[in-house]
Amino acid sequence: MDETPVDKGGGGSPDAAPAVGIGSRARIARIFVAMPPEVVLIVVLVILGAIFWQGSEFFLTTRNMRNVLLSVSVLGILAAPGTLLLISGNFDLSVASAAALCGCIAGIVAEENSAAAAILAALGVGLLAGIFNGVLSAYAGIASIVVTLGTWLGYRGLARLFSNGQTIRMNGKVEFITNDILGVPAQIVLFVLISVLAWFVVRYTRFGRSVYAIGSNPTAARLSGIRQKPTIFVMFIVSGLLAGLAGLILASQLDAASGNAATGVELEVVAAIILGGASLSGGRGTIPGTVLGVFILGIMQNGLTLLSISSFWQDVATGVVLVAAVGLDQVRLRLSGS
Amino acid sequence: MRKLKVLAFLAALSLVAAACGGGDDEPAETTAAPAATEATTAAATGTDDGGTPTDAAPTAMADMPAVCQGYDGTGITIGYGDLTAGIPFVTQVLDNVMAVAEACNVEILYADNNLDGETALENARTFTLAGVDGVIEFQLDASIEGAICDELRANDPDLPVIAIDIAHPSCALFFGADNGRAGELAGLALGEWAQENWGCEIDMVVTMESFVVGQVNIDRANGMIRGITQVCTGLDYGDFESWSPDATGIVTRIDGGGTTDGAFPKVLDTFTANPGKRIAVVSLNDDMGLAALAAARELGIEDMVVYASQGADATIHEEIRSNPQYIGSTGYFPESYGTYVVPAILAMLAGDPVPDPLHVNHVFVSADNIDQFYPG
Repeated sequence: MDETPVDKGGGGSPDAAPAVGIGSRARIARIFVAMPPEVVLIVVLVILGAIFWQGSEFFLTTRNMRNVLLSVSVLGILAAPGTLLLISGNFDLSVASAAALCGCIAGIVAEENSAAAAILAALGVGLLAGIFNGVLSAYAGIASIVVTLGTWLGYRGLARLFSNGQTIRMNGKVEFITNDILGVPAQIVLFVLISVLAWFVVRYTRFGRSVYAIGSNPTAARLSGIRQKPTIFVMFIVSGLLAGLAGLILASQLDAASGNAATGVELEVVAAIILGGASLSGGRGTIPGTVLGVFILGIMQNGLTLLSISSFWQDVATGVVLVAAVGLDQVRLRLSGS
Repeated sequence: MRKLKVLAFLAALSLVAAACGGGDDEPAETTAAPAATEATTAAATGTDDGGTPTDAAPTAMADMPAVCQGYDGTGITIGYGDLTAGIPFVTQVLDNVMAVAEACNVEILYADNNLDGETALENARTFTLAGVDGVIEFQLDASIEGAICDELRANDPDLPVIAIDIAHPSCALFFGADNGRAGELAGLALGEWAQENWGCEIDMVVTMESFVVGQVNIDRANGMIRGITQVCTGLDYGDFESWSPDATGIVTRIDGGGTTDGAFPKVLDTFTANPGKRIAVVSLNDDMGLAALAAARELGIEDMVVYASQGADATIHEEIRSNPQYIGSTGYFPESYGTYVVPAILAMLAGDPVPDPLHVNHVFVSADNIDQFYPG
């Protein structure tokens, strides 16, 4: 970046004024390029917050912030392992279906057994779902997008099969999962803890560095001795386990489990991760970025509902913000590359 | 004579539906009797799509189970295009169709339409290729009903077809819900509750809808609002009959997508933005009614919200029994659909007249009458 635009237009010529403008723009561009991608997302978040705050007196209330956190906690819990997988160049499209399956299993088990048994069953099924995805993706060499596209259908089908297409009432059995801890709902605490843990793993551990290496250049990673298969396998296990947790949270929050629960959430997970700056081709992405992406999606829905904007326009507006935010990041990357 | 046959068919249908009322979660005879009345009325103005006898016409057998109306379906294969797997209502319809078909010796060729018109068209081709004797079509996309009919009747222009819930006027006899009327029943009950308990001082009507369902959604939702307006007059409901996703007067429409978890955040936000208001929630189905319940509980405003929904699924029975704020749900009795459509298509194959449209009876299931329909 050896641009010297001020000099180009200097010398007191009639072009002096525009030259100063070019110089300002160049400085802004340099700042824009230098800033971390999360800053762009924070700016977007602040702008959205300001708009919704102007539009609704309820937006910045404690009650509403709690609503936002309640709404995004499941998405955030699923997006944390999803980010690691995407950084490594892998996908788990089955997380929402696995969450529905685990919720249904919890509901069925809870009918005749204790809450502890229901929780263990749900987490166990989530674990198995993750192991199945992991074995096929990491060890059988099948592309993870293909494997999880299959299990996305398969797990959803199993959820409907086990629930016989019916919504299962939990009758308060697992309600305590979403009880408040020191005034904060447990799912929000879990969302924060999982995000912090994921951020720590990605940022400060060898495992996290391996994830980036695998996603950036798998061949180089292999040659440098990184054990790719176990790394990918572990990520799928964690993804499955957290899908189980997400299913339990949904069942607890709504006091009901359904084979149709979390329909479409897998796409919201991918959208949040991409919005957070991750690359579909792997090697790039951060947990703070994903968390911000999750919040942008959550706040969009919350704010537009508070403003009584029809859901047709909500979809349009969310799509526009998604494309704009990702587009802005792409511009930043290209400027940085040049 | 034809009208007499229709009446006889309906009377028999009533008896069968009544006979099915004994088991758990089966509608009792009170469900069936009004069905016959409504269908008779409909038949008086409707058309006869009875079809003509074919080589595969069922034979009348005195020793067949009552549910079969005396028709024996041995050797008959019916294509069943299922709306989708996994929705409680649809599953109950499927289960009953399968059970009645088995009882009547009818073979069912099953295909999942997966909530998608193109898939339904593919399935129609499959039915034609398989040479089925009749088709029961349960698919969402009304815009391609003509194409589906063309496909189904490619080989046999008289192939009996029954369409469940979404009309296929090009070829099919309509069977299913009277959505507007069903909605009105819920709205009326809710209005009466509001009149008695709140003196009709409703600050807000929230309709939990599923916009993607289209006309069915509009008919049901507007029916529910219309029901309230008939009791609680003088409130500003706006021009709700001209459906739009925007709020009109005290009416706010929420697109919950038909699911509990999909509706929950939206209804939670809507309640949050309207503190201190008395809110009447009418829901397109019971699952979204549960979402409204969960949101009110989360906000601690249970006493400020009253609910009525559609479906009367098993999911909501306990709530109707125990929660005085959940006043009830309009029954569609999907668990009895097979007792209507299987004998009807056998009658069509035999050349006997069947009323068109054939409506299921709707009853508003409340704490007062739930045990009549669903013994606890």
